[in-house]
Amino acid sequence: MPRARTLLLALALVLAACQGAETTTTTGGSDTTPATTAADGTTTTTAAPVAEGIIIALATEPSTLDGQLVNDRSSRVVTNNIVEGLLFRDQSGEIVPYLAETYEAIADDRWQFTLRQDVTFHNGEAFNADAVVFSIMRIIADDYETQKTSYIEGLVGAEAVDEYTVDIITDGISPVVPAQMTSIPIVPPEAGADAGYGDNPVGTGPYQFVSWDRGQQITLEAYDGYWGEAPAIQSFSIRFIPDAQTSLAALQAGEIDMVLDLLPEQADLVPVFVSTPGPEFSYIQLNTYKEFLADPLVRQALNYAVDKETLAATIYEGHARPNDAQHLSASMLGYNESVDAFPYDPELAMQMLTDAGYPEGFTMELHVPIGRFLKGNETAEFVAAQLGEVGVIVEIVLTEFSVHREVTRIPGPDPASVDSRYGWNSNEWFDAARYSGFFSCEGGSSKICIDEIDALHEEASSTNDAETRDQLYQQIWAILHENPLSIYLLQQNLLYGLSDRLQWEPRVDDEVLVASMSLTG
Amino acid sequence: MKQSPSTSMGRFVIGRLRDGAVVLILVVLVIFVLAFVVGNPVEYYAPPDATQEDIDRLNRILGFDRPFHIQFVDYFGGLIQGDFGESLFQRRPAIKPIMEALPATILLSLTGIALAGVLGSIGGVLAGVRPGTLFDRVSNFISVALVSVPNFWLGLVLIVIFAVQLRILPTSGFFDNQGIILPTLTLGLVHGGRIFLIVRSVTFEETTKPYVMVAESKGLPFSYVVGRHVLRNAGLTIATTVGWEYVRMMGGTAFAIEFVFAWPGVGNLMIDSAHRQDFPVLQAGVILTGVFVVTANIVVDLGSRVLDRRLQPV
Amino acid sequence: MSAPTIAGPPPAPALAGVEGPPGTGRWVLWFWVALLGVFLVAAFTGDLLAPYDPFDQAPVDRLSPPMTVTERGLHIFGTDPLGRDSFSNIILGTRLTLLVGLLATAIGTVVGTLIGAAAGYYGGWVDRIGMRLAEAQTAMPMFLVAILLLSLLGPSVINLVVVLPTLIWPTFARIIRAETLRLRSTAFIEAAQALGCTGWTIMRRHLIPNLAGRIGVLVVVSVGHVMLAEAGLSFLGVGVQPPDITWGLLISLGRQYLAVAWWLTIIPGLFLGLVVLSINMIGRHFERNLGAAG
Repeated sequence: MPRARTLLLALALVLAACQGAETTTTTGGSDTTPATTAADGTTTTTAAPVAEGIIIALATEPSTLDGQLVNDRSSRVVTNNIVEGLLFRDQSGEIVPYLAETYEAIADDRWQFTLRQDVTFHNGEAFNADAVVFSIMRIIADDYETQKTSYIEGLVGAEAVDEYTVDIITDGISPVVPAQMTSIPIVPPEAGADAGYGDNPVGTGPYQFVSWDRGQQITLEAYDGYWGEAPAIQSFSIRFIPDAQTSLAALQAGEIDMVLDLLPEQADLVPVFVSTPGPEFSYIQLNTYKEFLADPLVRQALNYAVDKETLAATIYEGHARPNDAQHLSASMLGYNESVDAFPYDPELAMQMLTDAGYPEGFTMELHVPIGRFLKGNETAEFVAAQLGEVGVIVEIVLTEFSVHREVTRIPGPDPASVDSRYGWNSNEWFDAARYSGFFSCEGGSSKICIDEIDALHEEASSTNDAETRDQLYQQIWAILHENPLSIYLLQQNLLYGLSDRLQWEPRVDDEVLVASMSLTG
Repeated sequence: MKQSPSTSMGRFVIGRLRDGAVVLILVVLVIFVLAFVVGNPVEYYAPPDATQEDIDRLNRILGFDRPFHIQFVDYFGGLIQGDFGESLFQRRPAIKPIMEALPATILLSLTGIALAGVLGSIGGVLAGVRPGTLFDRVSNFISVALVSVPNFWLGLVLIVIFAVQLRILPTSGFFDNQGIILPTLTLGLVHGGRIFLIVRSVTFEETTKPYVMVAESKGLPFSYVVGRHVLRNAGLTIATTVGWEYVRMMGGTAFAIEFVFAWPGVGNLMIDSAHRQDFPVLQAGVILTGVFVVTANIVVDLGSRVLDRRLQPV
Repeated sequence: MSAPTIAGPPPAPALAGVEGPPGTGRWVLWFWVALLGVFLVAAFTGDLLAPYDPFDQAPVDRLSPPMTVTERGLHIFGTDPLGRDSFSNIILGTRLTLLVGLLATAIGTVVGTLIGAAAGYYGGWVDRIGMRLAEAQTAMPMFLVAILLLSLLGPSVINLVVVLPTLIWPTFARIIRAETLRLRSTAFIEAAQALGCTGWTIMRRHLIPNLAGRIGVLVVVSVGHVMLAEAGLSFLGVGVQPPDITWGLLISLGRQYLAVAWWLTIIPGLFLGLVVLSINMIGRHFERNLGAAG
């Protein structure tokens, strides 16, 4: 009978497919099954997953593993264990030597770096000045389209002075070169020239690439020729689990060791919960070229009208705090300590609006990209409700991310530009210069123009002295407190879920470096 | 018919293939036009502080600034050679992520339709031969209910019951052999419900045919009549119903279920690609799925005609 | 048996079961009609029925389970991530859900009927083109194409109403065409032609009223189908966007809280299922009474 035959055929296919599925599942890790002895003499062998390997869950699969090409979080979680830069940020955000031993600005357009001499690439290629030159030229190449554009801004070339000394050449004074060098990975000249580099990355880092099972996981293992301290964890896998429930369940079941981007609501449900202030901040950028937003008083009023404390306490379950009215946080260059978050004062807000000539308030559009930011919708609706209470009617415009980008890029003076937009940014440079595009008159993201600020910014960009720059940027942010460029919202925390056995101190820059992890017991 | 069966069948297949190809081309064209006019994928992939020059540069590099007809001809030319372009997200041939996702989809869809077929056919036959009983009424109602609720919602309900509250099954994932249970169950229930209704109806109709009464009057037991004759005659319809349901599933429900359960199949890939405006992959997916569905349609249609000719009703 | 030249899956909707269980009686029908009626009333008078303002936020009360009592009162179905009353949200969502469903179905019906009637009546190339289009489209993964179209055009109510009808018009076209062919050969139409009525008038005055019964049943079935499709598209993020509310969107918004507040996702879906179920049950009843399914 046709039915039976169809069923049999289906069963056969299913069995065949099942076989296929199982062989592509790798559990990653070495063959040794260590029995670790705890202090009290009990010996434990971990059953599953494989002994020395840990498993980290990622919600999005990286698009490529070419560390120079992309800057999205998913890719970096993998690549920053494989490749390294000339400099590095330590746990507290300070820039320290890494592949380079010393560095200094030797001319207005040159920074000189002396390199370590004991470094090798995973594939045996030599690490030297030529490799650095190759890497720099590769990332700044016109047709390379890297997404790390801010990291190559101002770089025009590199020159090998001798085997272990290299000059980075810039277009005029560029005080941010050290910050940039923490994030430009050094890749080997031969492997880096290969078109398939993104599928098979090679670097100098503590871990080397083993395999990428598309749609499932990436496996790395420790590189025994590493120049630095050997990592405690021999190997690890990054598993792609898009659904938050699933990764949570896997963590609870002990199948994985780490979940990134935990939802605040899941905090109580994980074995070990880590919440740490991060470099990300949220804001609603205001277009000062719009008539009703031109008056600084109005923009201050908007800042007073939003109850950021409640926002942080409820929607983010306490895993955020009001941003100190700067697109910066405390450890960053340019942070002004005497500038604080605007307190919640709706009466004062209404008073200010009346004083500015808007006793009845006004209507304003708020552009929000769909699905891009954690609880973006909810925050936007929350803010809209609050502003509504002081008379400002907010129309939320939700658009696809690329449409959002296109529309919000329209320069301020253009009538088609948006009134306001909700955004998040991460200041991974720990430096106010990172987002000068927001407050300089000609800045790509700027919807404000204050001559005084431009002058200060000019000055700050023409010196390499950190102290001076810090002072200048502090002044800028003081001005931006009286003349806000946004409704300053929150400083977001980074939330991680860990298994019981994983030992790890989170970093302020949200990097996940497995070399710094270890297992208990 | 004046022509021999094989020629007319051949012409039939060719005709249908041609129609299918025409529509596919139309769909590709429409989507291409829309993407050209409205889409702006570069914005999605450019870094956050890209300036207008950066965007223009990227457009130039990717060839998106060329006039429409050149882009289309280019794309089409590539299609004919099997080149679907490059994924904007992964920077490798667009066909690759689809090929890698295919086994997962095949696995899930086959187990799903198998379960649906089993549930629907057996239930439908049992109900069809016992109309009016409690079993019949209850199963009827349940089937209509299954067909009325959103299929993705049903999946979510199962997740809540089994994964969240009872914690006995994982919500999704390819790693566990258990991960396939809930999505299969969802597909099996939704499509099983529809199969049930059709099978029941067909079975019932068979039992009202004269030959059944004749057989019964001859003293043959009802179950024997059912086994030998009713099922044989209804069998064809049952098989083709399952076939059509499979086609229907591949046309839409499978995708939603893959999404709900984060199942790494083609459907999930399509939805992700739609969200990230990765048009080459989307186009490739639509084309390939279209080819599959058109072909499956032809196969099932053809199959039913062939079997129809061979199995003359008793 | 399907008409010889039309291919594709047999147009049996989910309601085969012509010789259904006997004796279910009229009171069952009235039950479903009443249920549907409740929803229709809610759609029209949502603002009045809702116990609270659906936009009234109270973040401290967010994600409360059903039957929670807060300062504002009792929340039958709990509160959403911003503390808004879930029940009020659901009632508000009734309107757009039903509106989009009905409107899209109406458009699809009209388009499908016109094309089918024209194809059946005029024959020739009108027939060939129309039917090829319908046939081939049924064979396409239309849901996927809809997702693609919407992600390009941008998710919105208007775009939904444009895209959704494409899912149902082929079925109408096919059936109407078959019926038109059947009617065309009756003396009745020939008489009208002899009297000099134009094709258009004939279609309008004679054909379509005769098809009304057939169209009616199909419409009923299609509304449910379209509503489920809208829910699916909104769920995938390419349909309705806030502040517009449909049940599909509510299901989508609640999904990330499945582990801690499952009611946000499950309850709107339940309501949707109930509406479609009552529509289907009513449809079954009429289908039974009309005779053959198709």
